[in-house]
Amino acid sequence: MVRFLLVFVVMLSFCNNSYAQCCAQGCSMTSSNIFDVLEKHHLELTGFLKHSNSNQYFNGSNKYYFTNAPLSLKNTSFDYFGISIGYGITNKLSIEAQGGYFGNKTQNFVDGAWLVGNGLSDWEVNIKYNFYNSKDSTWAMTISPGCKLPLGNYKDFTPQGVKLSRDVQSGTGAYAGSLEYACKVNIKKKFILVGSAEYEYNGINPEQYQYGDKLTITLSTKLKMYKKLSLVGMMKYEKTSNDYFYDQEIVASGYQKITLIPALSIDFRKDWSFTVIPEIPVYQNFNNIQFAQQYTVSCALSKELNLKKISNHTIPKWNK
Amino acid sequence: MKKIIFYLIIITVSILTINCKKEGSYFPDNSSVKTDTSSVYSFTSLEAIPTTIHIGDIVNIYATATGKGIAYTWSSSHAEIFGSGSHIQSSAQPCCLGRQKIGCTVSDGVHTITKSVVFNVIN
Repeated sequence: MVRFLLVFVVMLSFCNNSYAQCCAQGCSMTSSNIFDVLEKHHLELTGFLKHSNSNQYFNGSNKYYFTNAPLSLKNTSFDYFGISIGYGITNKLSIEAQGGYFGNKTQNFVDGAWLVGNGLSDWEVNIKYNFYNSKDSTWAMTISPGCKLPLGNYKDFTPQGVKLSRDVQSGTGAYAGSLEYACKVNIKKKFILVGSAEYEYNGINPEQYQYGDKLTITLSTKLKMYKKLSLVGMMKYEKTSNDYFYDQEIVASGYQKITLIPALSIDFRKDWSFTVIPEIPVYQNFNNIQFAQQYTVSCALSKELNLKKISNHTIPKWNK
Repeated sequence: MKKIIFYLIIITVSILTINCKKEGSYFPDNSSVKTDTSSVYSFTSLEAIPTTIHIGDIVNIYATATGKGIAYTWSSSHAEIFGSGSHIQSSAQPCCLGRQKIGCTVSDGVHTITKSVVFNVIN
Protein backbone atom coordinates (compact mmCIF):
# COMPACT_ATOMS: atom_id res chain seq x y z
CA MET A 1 0.00 0.00 0.00
CA VAL A 2 2.83 2.36 0.92
CA ARG A 3 4.50 1.56 -2.40
CA PHE A 4 1.34 2.33 -4.27
CA LEU A 5 0.98 5.69 -2.56
CA LEU A 6 4.61 6.45 -3.33
CA VAL A 7 4.08 5.70 -7.01
CA PHE A 8 0.93 7.78 -7.05
CA VAL A 9 2.63 10.76 -5.41
CA VAL A 10 5.53 10.51 -7.88
CA MET A 11 3.13 10.57 -10.81
CA LEU A 12 1.14 13.50 -9.43
CA SER A 13 4.29 15.49 -8.75
CA PHE A 14 5.36 14.89 -12.34
CA CYS A 15 2.01 16.16 -13.38
CA ASN A 16 2.31 19.35 -11.36
CA ASN A 17 5.84 20.00 -12.56
CA SER A 18 4.67 19.90 -16.13
CA TYR A 19 1.75 22.19 -15.42
CA ALA A 20 3.76 25.35 -15.99
CA GLN A 21 4.43 24.37 -19.58
CA CYS A 22 0.78 24.64 -20.51
CA CYS A 23 -2.23 22.31 -20.78
CA ALA A 24 -6.53 20.44 -22.54
CA GLN A 25 -9.62 18.65 -22.53
CA GLY A 26 -9.90 15.17 -21.10
CA CYS A 27 -8.83 12.56 -23.58
CA SER A 28 -9.04 9.17 -21.99
CA MET A 29 -7.85 6.02 -23.62
CA THR A 30 -10.56 3.80 -25.06
CA SER A 31 -9.76 0.75 -23.03
CA SER A 32 -10.11 -2.72 -24.50
CA ASN A 33 -10.58 -3.90 -20.93
CA ILE A 34 -13.50 -2.02 -19.43
CA PHE A 35 -14.41 -4.69 -16.94
CA ASP A 36 -11.53 -6.38 -15.16
CA VAL A 37 -10.47 -5.28 -11.71
CA LEU A 38 -6.76 -5.65 -11.03
CA GLU A 39 -5.68 -8.33 -8.59
CA LYS A 40 -4.55 -7.32 -5.13
CA HIS A 41 -1.10 -5.67 -5.13
CA HIS A 42 -0.95 -5.69 -8.92
CA LEU A 43 0.13 -2.49 -10.60
CA GLU A 44 -0.67 -1.83 -14.25
CA LEU A 45 1.21 0.85 -16.14
CA THR A 46 -0.02 1.86 -19.58
CA GLY A 47 1.46 4.35 -21.99
CA PHE A 48 -0.60 5.29 -25.02
CA LEU A 49 -0.62 7.54 -28.05
CA LYS A 50 -3.83 8.79 -29.58
CA HIS A 51 -4.21 10.59 -32.88
CA SER A 52 -7.48 12.11 -33.98
CA ASN A 53 -8.47 13.86 -37.18
CA SER A 54 -11.60 15.76 -38.22
CA ASN A 55 -12.27 17.34 -41.59
CA GLN A 56 -15.98 17.80 -42.14
CA TYR A 57 -18.86 19.92 -40.87
CA PHE A 58 -22.13 18.16 -40.16
CA ASN A 59 -25.58 19.70 -39.85
CA GLY A 60 -27.58 17.06 -38.02
CA SER A 61 -26.47 13.80 -39.61
CA ASN A 62 -25.68 15.30 -43.02
CA LYS A 63 -22.45 16.79 -44.32
CA TYR A 64 -22.45 20.56 -44.48
CA TYR A 65 -20.37 22.82 -46.72
CA PHE A 66 -19.73 26.53 -46.25
CA THR A 67 -19.79 28.32 -49.58
CA ASN A 68 -17.83 31.41 -48.63
CA ALA A 69 -16.26 31.43 -45.19
CA PRO A 70 -12.48 32.01 -45.23
CA LEU A 71 -12.15 31.24 -41.54
CA SER A 72 -14.26 28.10 -41.52
CA LEU A 73 -12.34 25.01 -40.44
CA LYS A 74 -10.51 22.94 -43.02
CA ASN A 75 -9.38 20.25 -40.57
CA THR A 76 -8.51 19.75 -36.95
CA SER A 77 -6.27 17.17 -35.31
CA PHE A 78 -4.47 16.32 -32.12
CA ASP A 79 -1.87 13.92 -30.80
CA TYR A 80 -2.28 12.83 -27.23
CA PHE A 81 0.37 11.07 -25.18
CA GLY A 82 -1.19 9.50 -22.12
CA ILE A 83 -0.34 7.36 -19.14
CA SER A 84 -2.60 5.26 -17.02
CA ILE A 85 -1.72 3.79 -13.64
CA GLY A 86 -3.91 1.14 -12.06
CA TYR A 87 -3.48 -0.61 -8.74
CA GLY A 88 -5.35 -3.49 -7.15
CA ILE A 89 -6.14 -2.55 -3.55
CA THR A 90 -7.98 -5.82 -2.97
CA ASN A 91 -9.01 -8.55 -5.40
CA LYS A 92 -12.31 -6.73 -5.86
CA LEU A 93 -11.24 -3.10 -5.68
CA SER A 94 -8.78 -1.20 -7.84
CA ILE A 95 -7.92 2.43 -8.42
CA GLU A 96 -6.85 4.01 -11.69
CA ALA A 97 -5.43 7.42 -12.59
CA GLN A 98 -5.10 8.63 -16.17
CA GLY A 99 -3.75 11.77 -17.76
CA GLY A 100 -1.39 12.97 -20.40
CA TYR A 101 -0.14 15.62 -22.74
CA PHE A 102 -1.73 17.13 -25.82
CA GLY A 103 0.77 17.69 -28.59
CA ASN A 104 -0.17 19.72 -31.63
CA LYS A 105 -3.82 20.37 -30.91
CA THR A 106 -4.35 22.04 -34.24
CA GLN A 107 -7.07 23.92 -36.10
CA ASN A 108 -6.37 24.59 -39.79
CA PHE A 109 -8.63 27.09 -41.54
CA VAL A 110 -9.67 27.34 -45.18
CA ASP A 111 -7.58 30.44 -45.94
CA GLY A 112 -4.37 28.93 -44.50
CA ALA A 113 -4.55 30.31 -40.98
CA TRP A 114 -3.89 27.93 -38.09
CA LEU A 115 -3.98 27.74 -34.32
CA VAL A 116 -1.92 25.29 -32.28
CA GLY A 117 -2.03 24.50 -28.58
CA ASN A 118 0.00 22.05 -26.50
CA GLY A 119 -0.05 21.05 -22.88
CA LEU A 120 -0.94 18.78 -20.06
CA SER A 121 -4.49 17.45 -20.02
CA ASP A 122 -6.94 17.11 -17.17
CA TRP A 123 -6.53 13.98 -15.07
CA GLU A 124 -9.10 11.30 -14.39
CA VAL A 125 -9.15 9.17 -11.26
CA ASN A 126 -11.59 6.32 -10.73
CA ILE A 127 -12.21 3.41 -8.42
CA LYS A 128 -13.49 0.11 -9.78
CA TYR A 129 -15.36 -2.28 -7.50
CA ASN A 130 -16.41 -5.80 -8.44
CA PHE A 131 -19.61 -6.07 -6.42
CA TYR A 132 -21.15 -9.24 -7.82
CA ASN A 133 -19.95 -12.60 -9.10
CA SER A 134 -22.36 -15.43 -9.75
CA LYS A 135 -21.42 -18.82 -8.26
CA ASP A 136 -21.07 -20.46 -11.65
CA SER A 137 -18.93 -17.51 -12.92
CA THR A 138 -21.42 -16.69 -15.65
CA TRP A 139 -22.20 -13.17 -14.43
CA ALA A 140 -20.01 -10.51 -12.90
CA MET A 141 -20.65 -6.83 -12.32
CA THR A 142 -18.54 -3.82 -11.45
CA ILE A 143 -19.26 -0.24 -10.57
CA SER A 144 -16.77 2.56 -11.10
CA PRO A 145 -17.18 6.08 -9.72
CA GLY A 146 -14.64 8.61 -10.87
CA CYS A 147 -13.74 12.24 -11.12
CA LYS A 148 -11.81 14.55 -13.41
CA LEU A 149 -9.30 16.95 -11.96
CA PRO A 150 -8.79 20.14 -14.01
CA LEU A 151 -5.01 20.09 -14.10
CA GLY A 152 -4.86 21.15 -17.74
CA ASN A 153 -4.62 24.76 -18.82
CA TYR A 154 -7.79 26.37 -20.18
CA LYS A 155 -6.47 29.89 -20.74
CA ASP A 156 -3.22 29.50 -22.58
CA PHE A 157 -1.78 32.43 -24.56
CA THR A 158 0.62 32.48 -27.49
CA PRO A 159 4.05 34.04 -26.86
CA GLN A 160 2.67 37.13 -28.69
CA GLY A 161 0.01 37.63 -26.02
CA VAL A 162 -3.01 36.23 -27.83
CA LYS A 163 -5.33 33.84 -26.07
CA LEU A 164 -5.83 30.54 -27.89
CA SER A 165 -9.35 29.41 -28.74
CA ARG A 166 -11.11 27.01 -26.38
CA ASP A 167 -10.81 24.14 -28.84
CA VAL A 168 -7.00 24.13 -28.77
CA GLN A 169 -6.64 24.62 -25.03
CA SER A 170 -5.33 21.48 -23.35
CA GLY A 171 -7.64 21.59 -20.29
CA THR A 172 -11.27 22.32 -19.46
CA GLY A 173 -10.79 24.15 -16.17
CA ALA A 174 -13.76 22.27 -14.72
CA TYR A 175 -14.18 19.37 -12.35
CA ALA A 176 -16.26 16.44 -13.54
CA GLY A 177 -17.76 13.36 -11.95
CA SER A 178 -18.63 10.05 -13.54
CA LEU A 179 -20.26 6.75 -12.69
CA GLU A 180 -19.82 3.60 -14.73
CA TYR A 181 -21.57 0.27 -14.47
CA ALA A 182 -20.22 -2.78 -16.29
CA CYS A 183 -21.56 -6.28 -16.62
CA LYS A 184 -19.70 -9.33 -17.92
CA VAL A 185 -21.49 -12.42 -19.20
CA ASN A 186 -19.57 -15.60 -19.84
CA ILE A 187 -21.72 -17.51 -22.30
CA LYS A 188 -21.05 -21.26 -21.98
CA LYS A 189 -17.53 -20.38 -20.76
CA LYS A 190 -16.47 -19.73 -24.35
CA PHE A 191 -17.78 -16.36 -25.33
CA ILE A 192 -17.47 -13.29 -23.11
CA LEU A 193 -19.69 -10.27 -23.62
CA VAL A 194 -19.17 -7.03 -21.70
CA GLY A 195 -21.70 -4.23 -21.55
CA SER A 196 -21.15 -0.92 -19.82
CA ALA A 197 -22.92 2.37 -19.26
CA GLU A 198 -21.21 5.54 -18.06
CA TYR A 199 -22.67 8.90 -17.15
CA GLU A 200 -20.41 11.94 -16.87
CA TYR A 201 -21.38 15.27 -15.37
CA ASN A 202 -19.20 18.28 -16.14
CA GLY A 203 -18.95 21.24 -13.81
CA ILE A 204 -18.70 24.93 -14.72
CA ASN A 205 -15.21 26.29 -15.27
CA PRO A 206 -14.01 29.70 -13.97
CA GLU A 207 -14.84 31.22 -17.40
CA GLN A 208 -18.46 30.14 -16.87
CA TYR A 209 -18.29 27.51 -19.60
CA GLN A 210 -19.89 24.14 -18.97
CA TYR A 211 -19.46 21.14 -21.23
CA GLY A 212 -22.57 19.00 -21.67
CA ASP A 213 -23.25 15.83 -19.75
CA LYS A 214 -22.25 12.63 -21.49
CA LEU A 215 -23.75 9.16 -21.61
CA THR A 216 -21.61 6.36 -23.03
CA ILE A 217 -22.88 2.83 -23.63
CA THR A 218 -20.56 0.12 -24.90
CA LEU A 219 -20.88 -3.49 -25.88
CA SER A 220 -17.70 -5.47 -26.41
CA THR A 221 -16.29 -8.92 -26.81
CA LYS A 222 -12.82 -10.41 -27.02
CA LEU A 223 -12.01 -13.17 -29.45
CA LYS A 224 -8.79 -15.14 -29.33
CA MET A 225 -7.43 -15.24 -32.86
CA TYR A 226 -4.05 -16.90 -32.57
CA LYS A 227 -2.15 -17.87 -29.40
CA LYS A 228 -1.56 -14.48 -27.81
CA LEU A 229 -3.28 -12.38 -30.43
CA SER A 230 -6.80 -11.21 -29.65
CA LEU A 231 -9.42 -9.15 -31.42
CA VAL A 232 -11.59 -6.89 -29.32
CA GLY A 233 -14.78 -5.85 -31.04
CA MET A 234 -16.56 -2.91 -29.50
CA MET A 235 -19.57 -0.79 -30.36
CA LYS A 236 -19.81 2.53 -28.56
CA TYR A 237 -22.80 4.85 -28.36
CA GLU A 238 -22.28 8.39 -27.03
CA LYS A 239 -24.81 11.10 -26.34
CA THR A 240 -23.82 14.50 -25.03
CA SER A 241 -26.15 17.29 -24.05
CA ASN A 242 -25.65 20.95 -24.99
CA ASP A 243 -22.84 23.05 -23.54
CA TYR A 244 -23.66 26.20 -21.58
CA PHE A 245 -21.88 29.55 -21.45
CA TYR A 246 -23.02 32.01 -18.78
CA ASP A 247 -26.18 29.91 -18.41
CA GLN A 248 -26.94 30.34 -22.12
CA GLU A 249 -27.39 27.11 -24.04
CA ILE A 250 -25.00 26.75 -26.97
CA VAL A 251 -27.25 25.54 -29.74
CA ALA A 252 -24.45 24.11 -31.88
CA SER A 253 -23.18 21.65 -29.28
CA GLY A 254 -24.15 18.17 -28.18
CA TYR A 255 -24.36 15.12 -30.40
CA GLN A 256 -25.12 11.44 -30.71
CA LYS A 257 -22.51 9.14 -32.13
CA ILE A 258 -22.03 5.43 -32.76
CA THR A 259 -18.44 4.28 -33.10
CA LEU A 260 -17.03 0.96 -34.20
CA ILE A 261 -13.83 -0.07 -32.41
CA PRO A 262 -12.07 -3.16 -33.74
CA ALA A 263 -9.01 -3.35 -31.46
CA LEU A 264 -6.14 -5.77 -31.92
CA SER A 265 -4.24 -6.88 -28.82
CA ILE A 266 -1.09 -8.95 -28.47
CA ASP A 267 0.41 -10.27 -25.24
CA PHE A 268 4.15 -10.78 -25.19
CA ARG A 269 6.98 -11.61 -22.84
CA LYS A 270 5.60 -11.68 -19.33
CA ASP A 271 2.65 -9.44 -18.51
CA TRP A 272 3.22 -7.07 -21.44
CA SER A 273 0.53 -6.25 -23.96
CA PHE A 274 0.33 -4.02 -26.99
CA THR A 275 -3.02 -2.85 -28.37
CA VAL A 276 -3.98 -0.93 -31.48
CA ILE A 277 -7.36 0.73 -31.18
CA PRO A 278 -8.93 2.40 -34.23
CA GLU A 279 -12.19 4.27 -33.70
CA ILE A 280 -14.41 4.69 -36.73
CA PRO A 281 -17.61 6.72 -36.38
CA VAL A 282 -20.41 4.97 -38.27
CA TYR A 283 -23.20 7.35 -37.28
CA GLN A 284 -23.00 10.97 -36.14
CA ASN A 285 -25.89 13.31 -35.47
CA PHE A 286 -25.11 16.81 -34.27
CA ASN A 287 -27.25 19.57 -32.86
CA ASN A 288 -27.02 22.31 -35.50
CA ILE A 289 -23.72 22.70 -37.43
CA GLN A 290 -20.61 21.20 -35.86
CA PHE A 291 -17.23 19.89 -36.93
CA ALA A 292 -17.31 16.08 -36.93
CA GLN A 293 -14.63 13.55 -36.10
CA GLN A 294 -13.30 11.54 -39.01
CA TYR A 295 -11.24 8.90 -37.20
CA THR A 296 -9.16 8.27 -34.10
CA VAL A 297 -6.42 5.71 -33.64
CA SER A 298 -4.62 4.77 -30.44
CA CYS A 299 -1.67 2.51 -29.58
CA ALA A 300 -1.25 1.34 -26.01
CA LEU A 301 1.57 -0.52 -24.31
CA SER A 302 0.78 -2.07 -20.92
CA LYS A 303 2.79 -3.84 -18.29
CA GLU A 304 1.33 -5.50 -15.22
CA LEU A 305 3.49 -5.91 -12.14
CA ASN A 306 2.91 -7.95 -9.03
CA LEU A 307 4.21 -5.68 -6.28
CA LYS A 308 3.93 -8.35 -3.62
CA LYS A 309 6.20 -10.60 -5.64
CA ILE A 310 8.67 -7.80 -6.26
CA SER A 311 8.81 -6.82 -2.60
CA ASN A 312 9.40 -10.46 -1.63
CA HIS A 313 12.39 -10.48 -3.95
CA THR A 314 13.81 -7.16 -2.84
CA ILE A 315 13.54 -7.55 0.97
CA PRO A 316 16.51 -9.61 2.24
CA LYS A 317 15.51 -12.80 4.05
CA TRP A 318 17.19 -11.76 7.29
CA ASN A 319 15.06 -8.63 7.35
CA LYS A 320 11.70 -10.41 7.11
CA MET B 1 10.49 -1.30 -6.63
CA LYS B 2 13.47 -0.56 -8.88
CA LYS B 3 11.53 -1.99 -11.80
CA ILE B 4 8.59 0.30 -11.14
CA ILE B 5 10.82 3.36 -10.97
CA PHE B 6 12.50 2.22 -14.19
CA TYR B 7 9.17 2.00 -16.03
CA LEU B 8 8.01 5.32 -14.63
CA ILE B 9 11.22 6.99 -15.77
CA ILE B 10 10.81 5.53 -19.28
CA ILE B 11 7.23 6.82 -19.53
CA THR B 12 8.13 10.22 -18.09
CA VAL B 13 11.14 10.73 -20.34
CA SER B 14 9.23 9.62 -23.45
CA ILE B 15 6.48 12.15 -22.76
CA LEU B 16 8.88 14.97 -21.99
CA THR B 17 10.94 14.37 -25.12
CA ILE B 18 7.97 14.52 -27.44
CA ASN B 19 8.70 17.04 -30.11
CA CYS B 20 5.63 19.21 -30.45
CA LYS B 21 4.85 21.89 -32.97
CA LYS B 22 5.47 25.25 -31.41
CA GLU B 23 2.39 26.68 -29.79
CA GLY B 24 0.92 29.74 -31.43
CA SER B 25 -1.07 30.95 -34.33
CA TYR B 26 -0.55 31.94 -37.93
CA PHE B 27 -2.52 34.15 -40.22
CA PRO B 28 -1.54 34.76 -43.87
CA ASP B 29 -1.55 38.56 -43.63
CA ASN B 30 -0.49 38.56 -40.03
CA SER B 31 0.55 41.95 -38.75
CA SER B 32 3.70 41.85 -36.66
CA VAL B 33 3.93 43.11 -33.10
CA LYS B 34 4.09 46.88 -33.26
CA THR B 35 6.00 48.80 -30.66
CA ASP B 36 5.25 52.47 -30.38
CA THR B 37 8.06 54.57 -28.99
CA SER B 38 5.97 57.64 -28.11
CA SER B 39 6.57 58.76 -24.58
CA VAL B 40 2.94 59.64 -23.72
CA TYR B 41 0.88 56.61 -22.72
CA SER B 42 -2.72 56.34 -23.83
CA PHE B 43 -5.18 53.69 -25.10
CA THR B 44 -7.66 55.72 -27.09
CA SER B 45 -9.83 53.22 -28.94
CA LEU B 46 -10.68 49.61 -29.74
CA GLU B 47 -12.72 49.14 -32.90
CA ALA B 48 -14.26 46.16 -34.71
CA ILE B 49 -14.87 46.37 -38.48
CA PRO B 50 -17.44 45.20 -39.47
CA THR B 51 -19.52 44.79 -36.35
CA THR B 52 -21.66 41.97 -37.80
CA ILE B 53 -20.29 38.93 -39.65
CA HIS B 54 -21.45 35.52 -40.85
CA ILE B 55 -19.94 32.30 -39.48
CA GLY B 56 -16.35 31.91 -40.70
CA ASP B 57 -16.08 35.51 -41.94
CA ILE B 58 -13.38 37.88 -40.78
CA VAL B 59 -13.70 40.83 -38.44
CA ASN B 60 -10.75 43.25 -38.13
CA ILE B 61 -10.08 44.68 -34.71
CA TYR B 62 -7.85 47.72 -34.27
CA ALA B 63 -6.39 48.98 -31.00
CA THR B 64 -5.14 52.54 -31.00
CA ALA B 65 -2.64 53.21 -28.26
CA THR B 66 0.50 55.24 -27.78
CA GLY B 67 3.34 54.84 -25.32
CA LYS B 68 6.90 53.68 -24.98
CA GLY B 69 7.42 49.94 -25.47
CA ILE B 70 3.73 49.07 -25.25
CA ALA B 71 2.54 45.45 -25.54
CA TYR B 72 -0.88 44.18 -26.57
CA THR B 73 -2.59 41.16 -24.97
CA TRP B 74 -5.76 39.83 -26.60
CA SER B 75 -8.40 37.49 -25.24
CA SER B 76 -11.79 36.24 -26.26
CA SER B 77 -14.58 34.42 -24.51
CA HIS B 78 -15.37 32.25 -27.48
CA ALA B 79 -14.15 33.46 -30.87
CA GLU B 80 -10.79 32.66 -32.47
CA ILE B 81 -8.12 35.34 -32.62
CA PHE B 82 -5.45 35.58 -35.33
CA GLY B 83 -2.46 37.85 -35.46
CA SER B 84 -0.97 39.97 -32.73
CA GLY B 85 0.01 43.55 -31.97
CA SER B 86 -2.35 46.48 -32.50
CA HIS B 87 -4.38 44.80 -35.27
CA ILE B 88 -5.88 41.33 -34.99
CA GLN B 89 -8.48 39.42 -36.91
CA SER B 90 -11.21 37.31 -35.40
CA SER B 91 -13.83 34.85 -36.50
CA ALA B 92 -16.37 32.50 -35.01
CA GLN B 93 -17.46 28.92 -35.59
CA PRO B 94 -21.11 27.76 -35.64
CA CYS B 95 -20.94 27.19 -31.89
CA CYS B 96 -20.48 30.88 -31.30
CA LEU B 97 -23.48 32.63 -32.82
CA GLY B 98 -24.48 35.95 -31.27
CA ARG B 99 -22.44 38.60 -29.46
CA GLN B 100 -18.72 37.96 -29.23
CA LYS B 101 -16.55 39.95 -26.88
CA ILE B 102 -12.87 40.60 -27.56
CA GLY B 103 -10.71 42.11 -24.86
CA CYS B 104 -7.46 43.97 -25.36
CA THR B 105 -5.02 44.91 -22.62
CA VAL B 106 -2.34 47.48 -23.42
CA SER B 107 0.60 47.82 -21.08
CA ASP B 108 3.85 49.74 -21.09
CA GLY B 109 5.15 47.86 -18.09
CA VAL B 110 3.93 50.52 -15.68
CA HIS B 111 0.41 51.35 -16.84
CA THR B 112 -2.19 48.78 -17.91
CA ILE B 113 -5.51 49.59 -19.55
CA THR B 114 -8.09 47.03 -20.74
CA LYS B 115 -10.86 47.72 -23.23
CA SER B 116 -13.34 45.40 -24.90
CA VAL B 117 -15.29 45.43 -28.12
CA VAL B 118 -18.29 43.39 -29.25
CA PHE B 119 -19.17 42.04 -32.68
CA ASN B 120 -22.16 40.02 -33.74
CA VAL B 121 -22.05 36.61 -35.48
CA ILE B 122 -25.05 35.59 -37.54
CA ASN B 123 -25.88 32.41 -39.46
